[in-house]
Amino acid sequence: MRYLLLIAGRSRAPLPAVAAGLFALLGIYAYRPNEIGETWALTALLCAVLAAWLIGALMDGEPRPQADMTVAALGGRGRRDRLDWMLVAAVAAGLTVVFLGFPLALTLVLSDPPVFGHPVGAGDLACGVLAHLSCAALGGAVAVLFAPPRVRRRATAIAAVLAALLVCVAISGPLGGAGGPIAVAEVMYDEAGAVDGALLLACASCLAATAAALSAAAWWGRRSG
Amino acid sequence: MATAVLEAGDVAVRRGRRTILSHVDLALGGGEAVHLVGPNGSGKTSLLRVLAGLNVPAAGTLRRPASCAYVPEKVVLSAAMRPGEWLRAMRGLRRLDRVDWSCAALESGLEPEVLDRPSATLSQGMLQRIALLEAVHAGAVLLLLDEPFTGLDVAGREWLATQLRRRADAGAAVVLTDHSADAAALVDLACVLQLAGGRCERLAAASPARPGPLLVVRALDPAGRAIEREVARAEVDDVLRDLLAAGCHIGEVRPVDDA
Repeated sequence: MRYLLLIAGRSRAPLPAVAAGLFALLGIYAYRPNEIGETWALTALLCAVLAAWLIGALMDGEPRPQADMTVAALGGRGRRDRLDWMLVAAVAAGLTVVFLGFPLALTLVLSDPPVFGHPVGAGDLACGVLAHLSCAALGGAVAVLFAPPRVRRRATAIAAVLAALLVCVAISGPLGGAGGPIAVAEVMYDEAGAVDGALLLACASCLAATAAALSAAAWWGRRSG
Repeated sequence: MATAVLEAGDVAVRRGRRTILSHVDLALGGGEAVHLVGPNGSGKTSLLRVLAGLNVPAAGTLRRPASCAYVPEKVVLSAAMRPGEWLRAMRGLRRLDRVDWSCAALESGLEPEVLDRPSATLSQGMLQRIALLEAVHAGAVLLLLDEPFTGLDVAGREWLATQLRRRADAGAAVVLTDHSADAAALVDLACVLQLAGGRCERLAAASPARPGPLLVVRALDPAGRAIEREVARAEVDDVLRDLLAAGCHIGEVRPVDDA
């Protein structure tokens, strides 16, 4: 992870995504009070997009010859895949902490009007963590799938990630409760407050899609070199 | 043959949907070096990438060490990254102890200050030498080098040849491509693999023409760190001039055998 942080720090490629995320956070919580479920449904979806942007920019910031030398040093594509999975997990966890930590910190300093319409309970927080983690993981996995060495042109990769996220929206209707990030957002919007079967099913569908995308990325990476 | 480091059996290499090499058989023991030769597009780089674990072979079996040192033909690092940072990060990835990269850089003929400059400000030859520096200090038992002599000056080629001989003496196997005559002249080759027409033919290696007597130069850099370099007699004046210009104190110059 230190190696990836070094690339992020030196290439500064993730800066636009970080700036966009901060603007989104400030904009969302500039208007108070908010409904917990509705707001976190929106920020969970934002996490999917931001994770895709962050990870895509970071992986594109590593030149191919440098990435090749890293893969050889690590011991092959399999070990590099594991590094990419760690990156997805770290970014998902980081975005979850930021997108849930910021409003919770605000509630400590702003009381009139309050940040949320009612106090944040443990059930709300558990729902928020699950929703943000699963949505961000899927966004990150989609970015890995279309990152070098699989897709080498940045413009093509951006188009592919956007298309994949649009496909997630399009198939959410037919899939219903197992419809990925949209299903997560719908459950959060309708009945946040306690982790129930509907939320678990929606989050599980996100995580299944994440695993599928990462497996496809590993398979594709070994063939495209 | 020494313990096998790399074994490839009936390997096929694919680029896109096209099979560019087939029936590649190669067994390489510790201390041996193989020179891949062939015209442009014959599959030398693609074969190296398969041997490095960057691509899977389209067919056949491949047994290789988990970690190896690979240097591509054109080395590119992130534009703002400092080579020193990259060298330290690679060391961390390999889970190896720290190395005094300033000293190692000076031995290779690079100014230590180069390690703290953004890689975008460095020449192709400097970047290549930095990548080669990482490779020869990686402790890897397999070195895969794509055109390592191209872009290096005379002193750089001598340095690389010396380092490869040292790595071979330590039991490492080397596979390299080279369009110049340097590989054949400077490296003890176990064999030459001729790639052409999608096939791979094993040829006997010519005996290398030795680069003349080697001298050992011992010096102290301005920070008081010891430097030791093996150089050809013809190059010693240039090396001494460079060391003195860098503020080093020359300790001794003597033939390798006496050192």
